[in-house]
Amino acid sequence: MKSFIGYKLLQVLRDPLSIVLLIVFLYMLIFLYIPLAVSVGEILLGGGVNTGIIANSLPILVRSVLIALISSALCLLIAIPISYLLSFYTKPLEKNMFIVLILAPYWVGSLLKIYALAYLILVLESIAGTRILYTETSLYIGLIYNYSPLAIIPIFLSMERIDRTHIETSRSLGAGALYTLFRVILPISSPGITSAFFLVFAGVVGEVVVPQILMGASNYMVGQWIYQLTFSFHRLSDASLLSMLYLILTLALLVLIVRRGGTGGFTI
Amino acid sequence: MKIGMRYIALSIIILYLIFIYTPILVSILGSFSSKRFSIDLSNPTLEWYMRALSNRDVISAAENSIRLALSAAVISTMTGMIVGYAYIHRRPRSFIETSIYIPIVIPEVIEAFTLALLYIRLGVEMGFITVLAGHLTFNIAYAFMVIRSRIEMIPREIIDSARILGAGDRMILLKIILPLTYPALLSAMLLTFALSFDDLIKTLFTSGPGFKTLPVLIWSMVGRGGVSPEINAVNSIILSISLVISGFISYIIRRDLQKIL
Repeated sequence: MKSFIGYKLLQVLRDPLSIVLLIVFLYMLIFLYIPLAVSVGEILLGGGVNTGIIANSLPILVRSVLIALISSALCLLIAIPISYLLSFYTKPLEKNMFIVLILAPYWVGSLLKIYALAYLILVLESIAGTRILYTETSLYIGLIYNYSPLAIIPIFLSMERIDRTHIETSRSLGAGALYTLFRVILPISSPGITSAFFLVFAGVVGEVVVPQILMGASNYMVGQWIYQLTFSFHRLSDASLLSMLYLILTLALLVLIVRRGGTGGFTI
Repeated sequence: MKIGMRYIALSIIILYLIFIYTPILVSILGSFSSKRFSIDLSNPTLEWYMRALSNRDVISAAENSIRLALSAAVISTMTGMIVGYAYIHRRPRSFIETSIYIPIVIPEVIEAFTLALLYIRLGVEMGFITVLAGHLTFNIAYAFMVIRSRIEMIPREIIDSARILGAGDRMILLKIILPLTYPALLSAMLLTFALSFDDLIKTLFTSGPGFKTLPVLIWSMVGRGGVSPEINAVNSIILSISLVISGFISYIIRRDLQKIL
């Protein structure tokens, strides 16, 4: 057995491509997986978890999860109709153009976009004379602004994969457009919808930029609080515990969704 | 498809696009406005830009950002290409593939915090290298994602027939694979540049006090006094550059979207 492993190892080392793959794998190990393990170690062996801090942190975590649930529901409410209209009611050339336009701001860093949004809100405030910035309204506008393209892409892609003959069959058998939407299109595109939900939810829970700039408070959501605990209060064990709770929440949701068969396009 | 429904559809989509683009356009217009927080372009001014550019912190942060994004883009695109190339010869073990993709799924705050924790516990002095090392994990993932989809589209027959006709590995790489994958290489390069250039969270956690990029600088200025026209000028410059790069990426990858995502 030992010589077999040795032989395998020799085979790998003889091949330059395998060596590169091995290096990339080791790189990911050192800069991604070992830090996660160190964080678990920190909870168990570090300065000790302060129960008082954790008790104060739980409401922040719960609030973040609630905000994430509401904003992913809002994003789906926008993304489903937009993807449906985009997929079924536009000509190929328009479809291409719209998809490029929707995707374009997506790769731009969220700080830059949210800052621009805050500027717009200030301009609107000076015109309307009402207060919008630093309220929950501006928080949700910011979250929808930042995350709705992320919800549109997977839903749109899964609608594009629908065989158009299904729609024709449904229509020729007498189903109306709405009936076809709810009984044919939405069920078939449910993997895209669940991916969209996951992407928005997992992202919003740990959001730092949006609450900081649009709510003006630095411990409104759990991502900001992890940053504060680390750099302002040097409570590394508590920050580790919170980020591991967040990670478990994300992974549990991911496993649940993959089990249900909804994997389409969650890699974006 | 009824004509009426088509126009309703188009107008709803256009309304959504207006929602997406208005903040960007207004803040860029506002950076030329002579009044704070109101768009008055009767006598446009470059005052906010002048103030921003005479700030030494802004200049050094811009240098840091460009240095960081260029290094990250070059290293991760090359790595993505090599891993993608390995894909042609044999599919890498799936656990290696998964381990490369994981950074895209894990929320950035968790990655950033745990990496910072590792640096703190090892006593590493944070700066350019620690930030670059952190950026490379997600950049390699994205570069590989974009390049792989393109490489998978190369028909095996072309490579096999080249080999039968006597081409070596080198010849196949230079004459077949590189010409067919260069759009993906270009978009991977642009994408990783944009991701690194705009990144805030990972940079904020792993940069230490001495090393500031433009997003970190904007962040710290916001912390000290909210939104201001000077920062908005800096923000507008980066925002426009990123939007152009990002639009270009979206244009290149629009047809391969099904395969990439």
